[in-house]
Amino acid sequence: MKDTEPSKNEREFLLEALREGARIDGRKFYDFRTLRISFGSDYGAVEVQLGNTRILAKVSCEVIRPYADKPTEGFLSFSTEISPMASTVFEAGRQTDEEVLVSRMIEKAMRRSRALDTEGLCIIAGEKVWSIRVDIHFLDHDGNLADAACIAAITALMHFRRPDVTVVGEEVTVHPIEQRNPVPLSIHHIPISVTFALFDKGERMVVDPTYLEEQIMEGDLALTLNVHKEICALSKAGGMPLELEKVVQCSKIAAVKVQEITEQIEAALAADKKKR
Amino acid sequence: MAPPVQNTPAEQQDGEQYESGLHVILPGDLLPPTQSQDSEDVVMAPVIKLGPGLQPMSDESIVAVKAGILQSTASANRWWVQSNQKRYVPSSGESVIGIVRGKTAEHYKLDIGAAHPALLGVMAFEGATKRNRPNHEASILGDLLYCRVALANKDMDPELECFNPTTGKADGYGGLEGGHVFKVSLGLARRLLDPKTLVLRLLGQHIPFETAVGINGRVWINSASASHTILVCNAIKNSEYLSPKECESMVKSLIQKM
Amino acid sequence: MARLDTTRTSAHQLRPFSSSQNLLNRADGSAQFDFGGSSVLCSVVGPAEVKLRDEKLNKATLEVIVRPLVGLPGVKDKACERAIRETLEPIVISALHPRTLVQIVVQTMKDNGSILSTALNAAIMALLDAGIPLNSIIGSVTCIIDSKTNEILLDPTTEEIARAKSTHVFVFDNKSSIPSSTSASMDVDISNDDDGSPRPLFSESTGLFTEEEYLECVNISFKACQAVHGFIRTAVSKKIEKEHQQTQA
Repeated sequence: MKDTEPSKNEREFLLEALREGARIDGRKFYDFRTLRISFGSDYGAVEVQLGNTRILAKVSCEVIRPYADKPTEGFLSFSTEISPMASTVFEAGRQTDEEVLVSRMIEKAMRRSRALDTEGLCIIAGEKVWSIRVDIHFLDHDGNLADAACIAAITALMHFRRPDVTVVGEEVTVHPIEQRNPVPLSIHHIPISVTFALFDKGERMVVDPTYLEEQIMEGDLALTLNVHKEICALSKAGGMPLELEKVVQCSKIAAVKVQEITEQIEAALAADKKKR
Repeated sequence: MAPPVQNTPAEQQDGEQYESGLHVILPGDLLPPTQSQDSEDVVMAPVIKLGPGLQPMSDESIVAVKAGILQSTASANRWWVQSNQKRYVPSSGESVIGIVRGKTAEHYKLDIGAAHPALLGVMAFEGATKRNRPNHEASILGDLLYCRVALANKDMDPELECFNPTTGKADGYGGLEGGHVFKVSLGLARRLLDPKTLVLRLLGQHIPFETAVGINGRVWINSASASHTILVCNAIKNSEYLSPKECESMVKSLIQKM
Repeated sequence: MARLDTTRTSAHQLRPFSSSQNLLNRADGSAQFDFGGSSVLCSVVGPAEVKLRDEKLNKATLEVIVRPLVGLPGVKDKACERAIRETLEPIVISALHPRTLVQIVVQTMKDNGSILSTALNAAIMALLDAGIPLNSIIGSVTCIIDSKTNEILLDPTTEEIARAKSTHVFVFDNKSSIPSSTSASMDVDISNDDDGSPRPLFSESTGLFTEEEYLECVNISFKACQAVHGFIRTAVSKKIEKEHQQTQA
């Protein structure tokens, strides 16, 4: 189904409000919406709500044979097909531009930044390695799918436990979760993405844009950082040009946001651990 | 958005004993026979008019097709199911807010949130004649119009008009300039049509604002400043599932924060 | 005989139901339905604009999309889509909204057996939430015949299904049951089986079983579906009453 454009009134009002320093949902420019993280009964099942945007991430694993040229590397893959449940704009089996962007973003933020220790997934070099799969299900779309997906994916990976294995010679035994305590994945760092929506030729920037803000914005800038203030990915996919100093300014704001979000994720994980 | 209503198994135990004055009806439920047509007394049998949510079946029984509260008029010849939903299905005579999506020589094409685009004749304005076409050149793509559904039929695209057919005057129908529009559930929109609705009354005590409510779940708000409009919009959105008391404190806290 | 699912004491006991409606902001209607450790989220959009090639002149087009929890949609999910669509097609009064689309998206959230039944129950609750005209409500349960004990187990978990010699999924509507006689009890009593004859709307069986076994499954599932209907009625009524009371200013 086609995307419905916002009315002229909405467009003008949103811009007018921004010029007065206000956002339509009452947030400040650099505020995220309320973030809620909840865990399923299984390891590696996480539901993330960022305002009305809602995402379910589910981690699963299997033992497979590694590539011959990288015999000690495990696999990490993401499935980011956007379900029509999120919005009728998305059709099953047909990729939209937004979907490609979100998918690339997750790929860069998680895999290319080496957030997960894939060498640690090796069971027998050249023979058996773990393949970790993260299915990201987009349930409700109210803007900023990328940041929410990023939070869901990394939280799910941190929550996940794989079955323990013992290797005797060439013999590999996988112990079911019920029999032996499963093992957490080894995570190098926690990449968190912060998206800025740009208005008025970059004069005004807001973080965590809603769907309406995304429809009206002139461009966006997404930065992925970790708590050590290391930039893992930076994406500015077209839109209007942006002065370099704005990018630096954004990265400073993002660093603060990343700190807040990381603390929230860790608090949620700790609370869940206590309950188990 | 609505806070989800959780139903735990504990609540489920009191199943059918759960009694209240309201008659909640679900699809497949028959209209209670004692209240519907009394077939033995043909002279007294009133003609029953069915409203939304009720359908006559092939075996002459009347069955609910939506979940909601069964309502009837005092004389008990009009029956309907009061329910809430988000998707608009046009019905003639209702006032709606549409967004102009296209224009042909004869019609404007408007998005009113229904399955089909609605047509608004270029002549369907106050005082329009073939010679004297009102100047609506300003009204182009993306404009908001407050209109009345003139014709609604499941097999045809809905048609709109921008005047009151009894007076021939605009009576408030027409373009909505400035302000902001947002979506609410159809149930909340119906309640907001009454200017005495609590949330509107409370807000009105503090902030002067203009409003136009479309039965199609679109609410337009305009006030002197953007911050006022934002406050009014959010207060209305928040009010849907609040009791009168909660509503009062919600409006109060928003006003204080201003 | 003890069940593999140790949380339950009897063969005809269903897992605790729970549900919530109107969870999603973008969809016109949504509901999540849980049978214990199995959970399905369902969204409904419609009556909405339909693509020209799917347009039907005399009725609404019903589209069902099933998305698995892990991996890409496969043959099994397509079969599920078809089962759900063909069960709901006679329930939705599609003639009231010709040339429109009613789109149902089903997403498994937690999988511990009986997913098709959970999905069907979630779908009917989402349709109710969206206000799509329906001529009745449906309820679904799954049962298995255990390969070791030959016992019929209702609402099996994944573990129990793995040991089944046959699996049966049933759907019944609330027309073949009188609303006042529906009991919301979760333990299904099979002793009095003479009120109304079971008329399944949908039945899917796999494995080997005899005619008698099948008929017994029908009867037991019919009783269990009454409990599901009772639950749906209570859940929806509560939501409507709560909303109504809050809005009485």
